[in-house]
Amino acid sequence: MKISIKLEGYLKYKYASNILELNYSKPVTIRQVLEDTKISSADVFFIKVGDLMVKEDYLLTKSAEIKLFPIIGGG
Amino acid sequence: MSYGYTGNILHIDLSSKKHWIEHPPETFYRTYWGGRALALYYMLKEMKPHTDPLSPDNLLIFAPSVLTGTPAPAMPRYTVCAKSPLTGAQGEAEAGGWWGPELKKASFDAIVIKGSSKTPVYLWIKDGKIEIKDATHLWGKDTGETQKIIREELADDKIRIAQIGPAGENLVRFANIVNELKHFNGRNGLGAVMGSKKLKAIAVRGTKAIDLYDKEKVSQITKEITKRVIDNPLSRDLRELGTPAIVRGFYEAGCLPSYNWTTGYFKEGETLTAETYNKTILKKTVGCYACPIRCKRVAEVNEPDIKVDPSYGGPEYETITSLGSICGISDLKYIAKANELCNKYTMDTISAGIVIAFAMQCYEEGLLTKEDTEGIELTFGNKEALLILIEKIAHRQGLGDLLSQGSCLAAQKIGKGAEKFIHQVKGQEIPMHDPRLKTGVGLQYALSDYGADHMKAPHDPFFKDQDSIGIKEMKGLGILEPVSPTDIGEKKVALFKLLDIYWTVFDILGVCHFGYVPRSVGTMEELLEIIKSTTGWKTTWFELMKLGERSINMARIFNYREGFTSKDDTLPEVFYHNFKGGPLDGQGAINKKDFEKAIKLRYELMGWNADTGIPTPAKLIELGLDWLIDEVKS
Repeated sequence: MKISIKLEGYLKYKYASNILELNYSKPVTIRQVLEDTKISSADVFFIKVGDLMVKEDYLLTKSAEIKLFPIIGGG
Repeated sequence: MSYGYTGNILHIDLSSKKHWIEHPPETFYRTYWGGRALALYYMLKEMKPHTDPLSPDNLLIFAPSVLTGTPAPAMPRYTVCAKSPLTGAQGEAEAGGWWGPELKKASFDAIVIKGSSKTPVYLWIKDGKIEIKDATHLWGKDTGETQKIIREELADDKIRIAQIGPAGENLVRFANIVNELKHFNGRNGLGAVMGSKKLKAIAVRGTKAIDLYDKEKVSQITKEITKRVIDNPLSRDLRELGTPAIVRGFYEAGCLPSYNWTTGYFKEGETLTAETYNKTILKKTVGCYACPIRCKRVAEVNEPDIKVDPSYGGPEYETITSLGSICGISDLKYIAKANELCNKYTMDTISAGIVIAFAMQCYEEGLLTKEDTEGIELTFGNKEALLILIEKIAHRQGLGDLLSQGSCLAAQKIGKGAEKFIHQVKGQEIPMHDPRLKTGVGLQYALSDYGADHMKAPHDPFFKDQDSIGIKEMKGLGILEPVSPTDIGEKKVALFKLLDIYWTVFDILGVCHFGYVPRSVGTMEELLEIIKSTTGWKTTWFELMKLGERSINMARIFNYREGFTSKDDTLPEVFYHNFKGGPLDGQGAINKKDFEKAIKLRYELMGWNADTGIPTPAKLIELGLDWLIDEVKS
């Protein structure tokens, strides 16, 4: 299955890309995807799969686009 | 010889038109440093409890700090304090821009203003000389016109001007003060205090550089931070997308404050994002004095039906939301126009937006009628109504007169249960960060001495993980363990005690939150070194944190004198309920009992009475505030 990751906000500067793509042969958690792409969970505030807000332990069982939103401070 | 500060505090009595200069000793500066701490010293010493905020007896204090005017990055800010006409509590607001450093260069560390003039005046301060000048010809003019006229009549286009527009003159309770047309002492209605004194503006010009203890060291750290700012992702984000970058995350998550806080789901959110902003209305970005980040937006619209003047800056995140989604409005051009009007007239965009959203909900629920609105169809999403109401509020016409009093007083006057549609703490309208996803922000809303404010402490996500910047970079304060953004347990309370004090130090010193950890690249060590190299004082973060704590206790005593109690340290009811609609539907409620327990624990951690939240005599002695013990006893 194909997992594409869309990076929002400063994540695209930090990880030098807007979209990352990975292939997996079996279900995988978002935590594992973050590890595989070397994206620090410390940078991520919200995770969205389709219309769902999910956490890092969410299990991806089919091809999906994950949107990662950076930590948000005051301003 | 003093370094960092001038040794001159200017006192002005607008009733008698007299002024004098006080020369406090070094120990005074070392105890209060500037900003809110210095201002609260005068407010507690010289103002009687229960002073009418709009009377001549209120003090209006403009206070940079011992650091202001150094060339170090991101330290342009200064504080204005007074008793707030919006909350009745200690009032305070910080502004960036250029005015604070200019005042220091003009030889003053602060201005303490009392009394009120019978006719409009403005102050002209140049290199230690003071004039009180007639401003009759400026009264009623907007900020752009006023700045132009003052610069022309004083024949100097480098004069920096802090001023009020018509909303301040008309005593709108959330009127603010602006410098350089786009840098605001935004909240708490301090512009109305200035208006009540018939003080239109303070024009300053200074040519004397601040004496630094170790100029080379300051220069070296400045170069190091500036170099890192260019490449750092957080700083780059602030420069390229600015605070509007916040919109996308909140909108997609379903926590973008919308329709007077009835939902976090705003389906037209894409139209409000930073990306849309950059493509449609952004003209350029600008910065404050000695700041390499340049986060501020300047918007321009030049279309047949709507024009936005870039002189007045552009909407930031708070404004996009408060004049946008909270009113159900998704047209960025109208939001930019509404921002321009608020800025011209000097009205806080957060309070203005929320009070209009409140009126829209009252209208939709039948509490206000077309008769009340003078024929305006005041439904959510009516962008023309937004612009009309801003005009009416600033000039206190029709329904605008009622709304100019802020949502609390307006709800009381409307009655019929309108109070359930207001969202405020201590009378100040809630900013645009939902505490259901950042409970530390909620604690700060509840405990803030000057009413709900989103800049009272760094936000929870910076401390969510072992690798978070707040955990990696702030161990020196004893911050070692991450805490989940939605946790409201003991560790969160302890963390936010420290963070409250930490950003209070920033406010006192005029340090911009966007320049240093956890929001940006400057480290705590660099900040400390800048302070030492500027002042020559062998200080530590221990002393600085005590300074922050001292001012928090002073504010607490001020509010206690005014009748505030632990009952005022609360959150609006809406946050104890789940989100409605969108991806977070049915989730998120803060447990009220847990929150109340957290507030009590915070009192104890602060050395306050656990039930009343009043500082104990022992705490006051520890902080060198023994002169306030009688206030507690009485």
